[in-house]
Amino acid sequence: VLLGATLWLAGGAGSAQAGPAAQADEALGERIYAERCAFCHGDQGDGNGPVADYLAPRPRDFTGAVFKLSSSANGTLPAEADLIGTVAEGIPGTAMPAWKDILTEEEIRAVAAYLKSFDAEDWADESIAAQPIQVGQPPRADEALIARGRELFAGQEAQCIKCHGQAGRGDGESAAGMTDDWDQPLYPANLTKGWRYKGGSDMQAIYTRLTSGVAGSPMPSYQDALPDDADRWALAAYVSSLARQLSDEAVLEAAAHDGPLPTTADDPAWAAAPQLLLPLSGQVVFPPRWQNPAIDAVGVQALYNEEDVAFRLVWDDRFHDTEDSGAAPALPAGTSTYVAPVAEHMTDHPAYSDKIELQFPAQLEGGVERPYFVYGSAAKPVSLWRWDSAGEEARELTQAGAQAAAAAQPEAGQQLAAAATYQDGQYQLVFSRPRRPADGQDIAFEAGVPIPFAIHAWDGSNGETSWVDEAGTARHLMAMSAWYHVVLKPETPATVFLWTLVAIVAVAGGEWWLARRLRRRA
Amino acid sequence: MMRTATLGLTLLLLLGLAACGGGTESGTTPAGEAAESGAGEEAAPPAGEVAESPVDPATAGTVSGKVSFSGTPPENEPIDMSGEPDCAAQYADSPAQETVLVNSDGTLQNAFVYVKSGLGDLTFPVPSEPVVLDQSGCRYHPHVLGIQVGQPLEIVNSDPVLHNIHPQPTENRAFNVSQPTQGMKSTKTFTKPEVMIPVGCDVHDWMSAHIGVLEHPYFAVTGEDGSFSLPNLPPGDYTLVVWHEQFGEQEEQVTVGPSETKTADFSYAGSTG
Repeated sequence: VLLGATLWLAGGAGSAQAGPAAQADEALGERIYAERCAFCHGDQGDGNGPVADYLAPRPRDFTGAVFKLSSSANGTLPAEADLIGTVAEGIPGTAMPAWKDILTEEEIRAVAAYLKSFDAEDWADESIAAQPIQVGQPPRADEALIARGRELFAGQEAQCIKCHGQAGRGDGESAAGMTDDWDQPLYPANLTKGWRYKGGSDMQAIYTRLTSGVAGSPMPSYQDALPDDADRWALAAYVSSLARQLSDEAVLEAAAHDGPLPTTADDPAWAAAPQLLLPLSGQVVFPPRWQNPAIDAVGVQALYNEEDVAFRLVWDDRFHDTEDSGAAPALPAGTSTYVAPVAEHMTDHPAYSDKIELQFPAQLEGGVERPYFVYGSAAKPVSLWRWDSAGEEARELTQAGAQAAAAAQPEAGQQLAAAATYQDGQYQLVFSRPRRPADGQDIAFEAGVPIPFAIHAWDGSNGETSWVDEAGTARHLMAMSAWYHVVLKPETPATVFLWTLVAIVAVAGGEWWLARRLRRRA
Repeated sequence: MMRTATLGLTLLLLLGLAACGGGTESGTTPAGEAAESGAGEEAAPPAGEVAESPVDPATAGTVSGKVSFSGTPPENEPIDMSGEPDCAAQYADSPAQETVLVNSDGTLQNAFVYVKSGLGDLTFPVPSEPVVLDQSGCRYHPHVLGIQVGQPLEIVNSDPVLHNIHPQPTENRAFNVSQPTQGMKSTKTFTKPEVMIPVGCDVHDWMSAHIGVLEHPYFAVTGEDGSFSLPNLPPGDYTLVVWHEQFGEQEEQVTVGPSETKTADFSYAGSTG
């Protein structure tokens, strides 16, 4: 009710404006729009700005008054407060930034109001006027509520899994081939990615999306389907419980393990290893530049024993692409070094398999400076642990710069083992290798030493691949991380405790002897 | 100082009242009822104000005719329903799209015939009788339908599978509702005339229907005999249009005299090969 009232007030304040103040606001809104928005959204507000073709999703077209984030009933216009909120907060997972730190509140209000001028007719249409949703306070998200939500999510009553998949990773049966109201491809949201929720992953935001739907997208309103708002709250509680967040640590702690290291990703031993969920972004350093990677996060864990080290990589991918044509992608002609997003899943480009790669410096000697983060350089090459879903093959390679072709290490040095599973839109992969390489080409994993690593990932159905072009230059349409560090946390051997004890006894004994001698002298 | 404080307090009180008012008003509406309100429910005339028909039955005429087809009709695209066994089981043969349905007598089904102009300023009563759009066997029934502005559209899910009803109009406001359970019904209205509005289901991308929305009752969809009839037309000069999803639109001028019955036939040609 409070939220509703706030919206009502915001809406009232917006529509009540008239006279010179309104005119000033309109001029301000127009100026802000031209300065800040038109580059993406276009002079005409039709979402066709100069950079629109390189963005996925494309910038919003304002000429139909359709907005994703609405607090109004499905089929009615959003509240002006919704527009203000979107401009202020931005839309995660898209190119729309949060403007609240750049524009003043007055400027944001003015530009939100100005957006309406691109479809004045609809905004003036009383028959589709905003009908605010009553959100209210969320109930406590206890286990029972979450369990009820899970039941709805997977069961007959809501069937969310049809699109969002069993585990909520956006990989349901109907996920492939979806389009929005502008015939642009899009996929059901991966609900485990808390950082990608367009309108927020808190229960109130999810309840609002469930009730209103997401206009212009395949996400329908569940108000008719679940008329009891307790059900929508339960669903919101469950969905919210799925949302994870990215790690902000930069050092991965590899845990010591007794006995042979696990060779499979589902081994319970992994529970003892801390996980970092690391962000990846598109490779935009070297042309062709790729700003729409599908894999934006990889979970990493590491375990080690006296001989071996093992990494467990976990990442979400809606489609299991295991065939690779080996063909170079057709790059758009023209001067832009950025590649436009693929139009359709696996149909407008050759088949590419899914791949992942761990990057380490080829050597740790030579000071603290790490190799250049995109495949190093001739002076400071990198070692790669690469896994390809085509053939499920793991290889160790060396590369000396992003544009140099990677070279497989000699067979004698191929000591990398890998085992992967793919289920419910998720890969789980275990890499393992002796800590001290036989060929001396790679780094040794010594305990206590911070070892830099980075991750590269390819989603085949998103048109991602690396190849060497006719001129012999390596090209990369892929997702990549920055450098992180892994530290094999030194295991404290029992002898450490023994020597400590000996030292304490020795010191105490020495003191006693000294004290006795001094006393005797006195 | 005191005055400012009083003013501020009054203002706060007023705001509080307004906020409470807003809250209770909407708060008393049960969610179930609110669900019924769709795009532009307000467009339907309030009960008790149903307009009288402006047509004098004594002089009203009729336009009727047939929509025929010549040549070889294109094959309808097969539908892969293997992902929905409950729907697939309803078909003896493998299901296909209903894009082009030619009857055995050479007439065409699912052609939408309507009066595009000639009615002037006449306004017509809005039927309270709903038009039903049924989802059955993971297809829409009917495939093409007409409805008046403000007339209720009752959307029914006869399938035991999830559908979402997602029309994509250009004149009207789009809506998108989920119907996960068998037997579920939703009622919606359109507020503006629009020929045609494509309707689809994002869960089953093969599902397709077309809705023609008009401000008057002079429209018809051809069936198994390819014929149509537009009765109760006031005398006048009309532009008649036939629409077909594959073959496009055709226009014909018709003059209807008092109590006259006019024939207007249309003909589409497929490939002659």
